[in-house]
Amino acid sequence: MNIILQLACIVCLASAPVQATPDRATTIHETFLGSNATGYAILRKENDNLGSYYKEHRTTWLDEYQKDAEIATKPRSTQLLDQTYFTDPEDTTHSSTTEHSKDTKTTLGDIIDRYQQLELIPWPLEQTKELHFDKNTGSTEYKSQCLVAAKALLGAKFRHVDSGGALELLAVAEDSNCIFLTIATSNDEEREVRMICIPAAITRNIHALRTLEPLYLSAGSFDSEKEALALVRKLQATAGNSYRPSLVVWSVFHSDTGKTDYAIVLANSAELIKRNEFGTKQDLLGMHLVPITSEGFRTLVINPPH
Amino acid sequence: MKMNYILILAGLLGAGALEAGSPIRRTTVEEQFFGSNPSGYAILRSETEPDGDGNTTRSKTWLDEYTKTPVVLYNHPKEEGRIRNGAYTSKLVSSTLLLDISYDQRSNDNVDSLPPHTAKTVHKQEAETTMSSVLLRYPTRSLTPWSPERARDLRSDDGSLFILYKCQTLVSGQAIRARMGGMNTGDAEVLQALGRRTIDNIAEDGNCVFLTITAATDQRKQTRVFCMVPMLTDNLHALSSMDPLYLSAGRFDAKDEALRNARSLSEKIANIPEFSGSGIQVWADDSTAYSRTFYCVVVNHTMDIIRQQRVSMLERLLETPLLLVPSDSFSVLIKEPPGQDGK
Repeated sequence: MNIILQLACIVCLASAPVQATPDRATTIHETFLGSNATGYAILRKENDNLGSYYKEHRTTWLDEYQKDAEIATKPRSTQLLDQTYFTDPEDTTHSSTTEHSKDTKTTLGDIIDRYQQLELIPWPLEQTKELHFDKNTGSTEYKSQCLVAAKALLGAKFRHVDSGGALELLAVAEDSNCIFLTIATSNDEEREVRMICIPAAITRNIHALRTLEPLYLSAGSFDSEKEALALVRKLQATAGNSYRPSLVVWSVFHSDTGKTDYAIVLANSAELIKRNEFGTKQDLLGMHLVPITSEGFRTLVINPPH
Repeated sequence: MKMNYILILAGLLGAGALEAGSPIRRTTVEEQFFGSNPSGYAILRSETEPDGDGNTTRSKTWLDEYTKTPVVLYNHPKEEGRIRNGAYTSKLVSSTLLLDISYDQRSNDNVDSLPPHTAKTVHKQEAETTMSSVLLRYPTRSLTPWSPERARDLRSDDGSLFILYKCQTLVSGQAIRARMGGMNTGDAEVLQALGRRTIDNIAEDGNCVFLTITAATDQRKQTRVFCMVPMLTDNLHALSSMDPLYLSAGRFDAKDEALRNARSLSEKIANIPEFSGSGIQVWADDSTAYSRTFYCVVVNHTMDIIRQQRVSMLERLLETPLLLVPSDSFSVLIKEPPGQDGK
């Protein structure tokens, strides 16, 4: 009988710590702090429960990124706070914090000076629904434009997700030239909320795709971007003072041939068609204008500086 | 009544104005929530105004720190009247000028390709307030926005200064005047001076609702953050979760009488196991038919009781008749004064 009691005690003692502690769990939460034309700053909070109900290690980082950097590029990081948070096991309403370190160099004045835009404009829900977000891979697309390539996030941005199935698009917002996606992953032990900056060139193209009209008047199509841009410059230079055409170049994908060419179109085509000014503008330009659909339009080609 | 929900554009307009190449003529004041804790919150306030010939702007940014301890904005004889009329506000306790900068903007000939040249002169850059110290003071950085369904009950009127949620005033004319100007002028003049108003955002931290309002004219644009101190927010939560109908045990002229009745019924209902999830509440009922306030004693979770066909049973057990009343005119959930609830 004594042996049975002793064994029972040993079993109880051995199992007690397992039952009294939770699994190790960490959370990473990023929030937007500010941006300028070329960069942005994120506040990253990391909490680690250290496998305890009553203790948590908390760190806060300032991460500064270049906007056109690859997703996997490491930011310039400054640790702002390093704390351990304790909850009293006897009375969980009581807590205390031990501060291990605190950055004393980075001032709020510095941040505001570096990142003048302190707030993002959220996309309305209806607009967010136009994005196609794959929960397994993180692939994000708007029409033909890829914002984030499949699996580019996994491993590169999210520490704890090796395989898909748990990604969630929480929010989409913009500053003056870039879209920011807030994406989360979570399982029982880990939760990460990360911000992804979509480079300015892609953001600009999404804006262009969003405002596409179904029909455009085309002044011609070319095999190369260079040829198309050269003609745009020529037409704009030779146009009379009375009419300065608003010409843009789109790359156009032809699904029947699998080829891409470059079409010069009048940006305000819809307005001209509506006002029945098709013929007048054709004469002013001295070129034959052909109506084309925008179904194959892929990328708005930006006219580089001379 | 017209409810406007717009995107927060002030930041972009501010940034865009510097890049657009056109002279800046409008003064802007932009407030933005920075962080909060249970007893206070911090706002970043930026003021930008044209300087000289319109190619120069001066921009100043402050860290404004407020206490959430309620301050009476204007007096009303009854507590519930002060809550209903939004007569409580938060108080600015400190304001620190973080940055004072002039931007000299000169047009660039090739506007398509290069950003305009902007020269920056820093007049002051405060070097004491560290990010870490502000984060320690205000650890809550994100507000939870209200859902569109919940925000649907917000009301504003182009012809008045007030913004309401159901029967509760969130922002009164007095509050608008205090924060946005026009203290000594009538409503019509204030409305004209402020220009078009929009509600940009409504969101909350652990105990306060924050409402962001923009008012704009061609000359001046202001975006201000209004805090509903905890007692106002508590009532907003009560209104938000209010049922459309309640079983009423009586309507009283005096609050004390209603509270006495409610205490007696609370003791009874607490001892009935079948109704352990139910409780008794007292609501200020601003009946428009009588143009006065009554105090209505009601049973909460009424709809569950009706669905379970247990109204008669409850009437019998409480020994009181229960009438079904609409909650349209309920404005303030009355709380027991400290020490009166037997706890």
